[in-house]
Amino acid sequence: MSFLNPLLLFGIGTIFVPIIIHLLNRRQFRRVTWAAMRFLKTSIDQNQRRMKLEDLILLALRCLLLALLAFALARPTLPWLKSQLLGAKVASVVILDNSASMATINGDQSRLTLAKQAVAVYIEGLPLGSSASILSVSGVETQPTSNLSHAKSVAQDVPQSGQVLDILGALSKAHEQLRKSGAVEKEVQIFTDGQAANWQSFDAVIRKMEEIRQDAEISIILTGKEAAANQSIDRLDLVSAIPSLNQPVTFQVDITNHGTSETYDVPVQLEVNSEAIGEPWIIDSLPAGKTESLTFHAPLTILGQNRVTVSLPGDSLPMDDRRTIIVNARKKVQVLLVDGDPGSIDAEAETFFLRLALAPVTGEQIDQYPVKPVVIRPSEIETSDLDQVTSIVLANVADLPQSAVAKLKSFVQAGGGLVYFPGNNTQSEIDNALLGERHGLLPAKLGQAQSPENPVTLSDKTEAVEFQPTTGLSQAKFWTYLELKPEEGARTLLKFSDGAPALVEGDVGRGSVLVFASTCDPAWNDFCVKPAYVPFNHQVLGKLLLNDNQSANLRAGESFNAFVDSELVGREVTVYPTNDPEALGQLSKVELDGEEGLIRYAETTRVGGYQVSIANSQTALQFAVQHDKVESSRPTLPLEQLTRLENVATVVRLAPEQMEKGFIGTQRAGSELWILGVMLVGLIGLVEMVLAQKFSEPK
Amino acid sequence: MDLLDSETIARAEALGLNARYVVEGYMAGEHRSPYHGFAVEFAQHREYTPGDDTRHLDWKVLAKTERHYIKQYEQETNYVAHLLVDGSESMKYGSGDVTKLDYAKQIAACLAYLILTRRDSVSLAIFDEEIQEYIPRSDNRKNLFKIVSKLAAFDANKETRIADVLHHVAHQLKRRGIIVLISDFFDDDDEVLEGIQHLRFGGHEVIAFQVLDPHEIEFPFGGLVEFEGLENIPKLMTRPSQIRKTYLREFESFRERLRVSFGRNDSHFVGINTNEPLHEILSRYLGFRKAASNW
Repeated sequence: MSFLNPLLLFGIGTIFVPIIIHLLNRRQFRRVTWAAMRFLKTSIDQNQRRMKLEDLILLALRCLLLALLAFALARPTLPWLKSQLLGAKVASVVILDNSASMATINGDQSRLTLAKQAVAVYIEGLPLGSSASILSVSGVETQPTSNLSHAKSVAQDVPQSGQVLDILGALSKAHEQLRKSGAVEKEVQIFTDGQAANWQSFDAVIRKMEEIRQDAEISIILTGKEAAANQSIDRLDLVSAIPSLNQPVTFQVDITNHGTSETYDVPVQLEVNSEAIGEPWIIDSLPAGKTESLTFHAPLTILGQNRVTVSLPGDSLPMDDRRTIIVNARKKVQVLLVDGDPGSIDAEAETFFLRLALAPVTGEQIDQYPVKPVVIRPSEIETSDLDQVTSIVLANVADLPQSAVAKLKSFVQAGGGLVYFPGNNTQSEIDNALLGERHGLLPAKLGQAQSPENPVTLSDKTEAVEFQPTTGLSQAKFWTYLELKPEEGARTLLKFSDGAPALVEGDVGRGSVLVFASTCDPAWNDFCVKPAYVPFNHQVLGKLLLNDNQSANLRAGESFNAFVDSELVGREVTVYPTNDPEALGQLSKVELDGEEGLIRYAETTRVGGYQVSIANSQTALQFAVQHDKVESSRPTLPLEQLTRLENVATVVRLAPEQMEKGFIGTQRAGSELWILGVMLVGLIGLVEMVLAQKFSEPK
Repeated sequence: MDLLDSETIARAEALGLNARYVVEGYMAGEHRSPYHGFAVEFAQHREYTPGDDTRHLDWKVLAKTERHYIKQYEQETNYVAHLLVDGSESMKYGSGDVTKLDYAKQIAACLAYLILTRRDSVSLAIFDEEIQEYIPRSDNRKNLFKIVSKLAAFDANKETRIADVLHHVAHQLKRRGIIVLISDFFDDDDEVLEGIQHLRFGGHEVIAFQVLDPHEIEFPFGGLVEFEGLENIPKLMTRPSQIRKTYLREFESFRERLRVSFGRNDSHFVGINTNEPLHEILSRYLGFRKAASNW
């Protein structure tokens, strides 16, 4: 026998209290001078034994009552005793995997449905007085409650999400909750499909489980079977740098066969704003485990947000058979080129090559071309109207007035893009102080101009997907470049061949700033005369414009935030899934954020398109939620990993026919005796009261 | 006459006055009915003379002889009443202001006053283990002060042996009389009854007044109580509530035995609760005696 509150066993010492009270009471008596002693003595003689016995019985009962109370409060447990009534109450944390893979259909129901049934059966089988909390990957996170019906109800309401299971994070949360519990039995129950891709940090998970096992038992209930086949759309990306209205736009689509056998004649359909674009593309054959990359071209027919969807025929995991993105189509992209060294003739201007690269057209095409570069002097920044400007390029600019810098900062914070090209005029210390430290506009600290003995080139190896299709970057030679020291949080998009950062990006407010390490004219390099210069600058511009699309394209679980006119603050906002008229819209309100209105929506567990409408307003927004391609992976945990898991947890592979009460927890041993103790205390208290009343009756 | 201190004299006067007040109050309640004396045993007839109470006419004689005769009672024959007052320590008990001894003294004083008023003789003996105070019989009214003084001055401090005293009195008294025994009778009841039988054998009429305190009758104590005996009986500690029924049963049994035993010996047994007014008790008892004599 062990005790959960052993210190309270000292309370057994209180049995001396009734004895002391009894002895003290014997010292507290009334003295009466009495004549009829003969009768008194006779009466006492007749009752003496009975009275002593009654006193002893009451004293013993009172001592026993206090001892039992202390015993019950110390919460004794018998580890070997199994009893449904006296069963030790369990503090249980249920981790319900509702990641995208749990949508896989096995038979006639999804893995999640099966898992929910298992959770219900499990909770119903918990001993009296137990508590349970529910953790899911989609943010459902309850505190432990002894209202098991409520916990069961919460579990049943957990939605299917498109998110990825973070098993390590869920285990940490579970452990944290259980540490606070004083229950004798603690359990972590993981209801999951055991998708192997979710257990990437397997060793860390095992270590975490070993840590949890010090306090709690862990069970992994595997629901569903490994699917035989699954094809998924792993990627739908806009490739065109600057999506323009009614201009052909390029999309990259990756289709993967996660099945075990090759598939044939797989149709892939592209839709723009629910309109199918041409006939489906047929993939003749897709070997098992292989990915096919497709390129689609389609015009964007709506000015502003266009919804682009790629779909496959449905299979056992429908969630990854469609992928939707929102693409913002512009009619005009105005770029302000601030020229710090205009020269005496146009060709000598710092921005000469850049202007041509941004709008590489002539004649009548200039008007139709969406990118409109405009060259100004630094002194003109303050007087320029930036409302229609998409991006600003600072080219070899020095001595910017503070007011101009402040204006630039406001422009970027509101969502604009800023590109910084250094040059001979650049004064690093001044720009670091003014642009960087004071206004936070530089994602990298500017160093001294470096001139290596041998010119360096741009490295083709970049993780920035935007620049991956830009070929020929390494052909340009850079004999001078500015040393860049990226700030914390900044991203290095390109590097020189010597490893020095070439292009660094940072976020400022809702906008972005890109710093290039060399000039945009031929002063420090020959980049501007190389073929890669044009696509490079379009990618830079596209990168800046991407902010528009990024905020509308989310991974499942990410919060949707959109800024709207401040006049709309307080208006009711309805968010509902696109093309799902039966789905109930969820309501929120336009909040005030600074001087703008902000729509904030966090319930983005479902993948697909969403529409946002604002009451009494023409403003309508869209956003799209994409699943993580990891969730499309078909394999479940391999035998070797399952074996390792069985060393730290009870692994149950649950089929629907096994769904009966007690499928888990049958090994649960140990009973708390406090209920019994309290019942005995109550019983003894009752007996004591009755006897005390009876004994005090005249005899 | 004994020398008495002023306090005793004051107490004696108060006792005498109280006795007078009680007795005269009783007599006033008799209205026109003259008091026939404490001794109520029929003695003889005499011829009716104007002024006699017609209630004492012997109607049976009148019916037979057509002559008016009045019944005369023993009281008119100078009977002697011997007042025996228990002065043992147990009589000192009193739950209120009045102890049993106080009450017994008042009864004795009242009876003495009553008897002397009727010009009968009365003697007084206050006893515990033996007779401690004695005033010989006398029909002189002045004897009343002696009696009340003795009563007032007496303080109990010894155990009781009623039977011994009764046997002693039975030996000493040569002439028939009325023995008025005032006590709580907290003694061996069998021995007491032997003493009574001895007196009855000597031709004495015995009247017993058992004086009890209400607490002795009701035993109303609660909590833990240490009882300290009045007659050198060891202390007893108990919870009275737990033995009340037994006590009351024992006590009532004792009283009943006394009542029955006295009845069997043609003796009157009067139970007295000291919280009852004395005049009511006397009135009730004397009324009972008169009714008994008329019957």
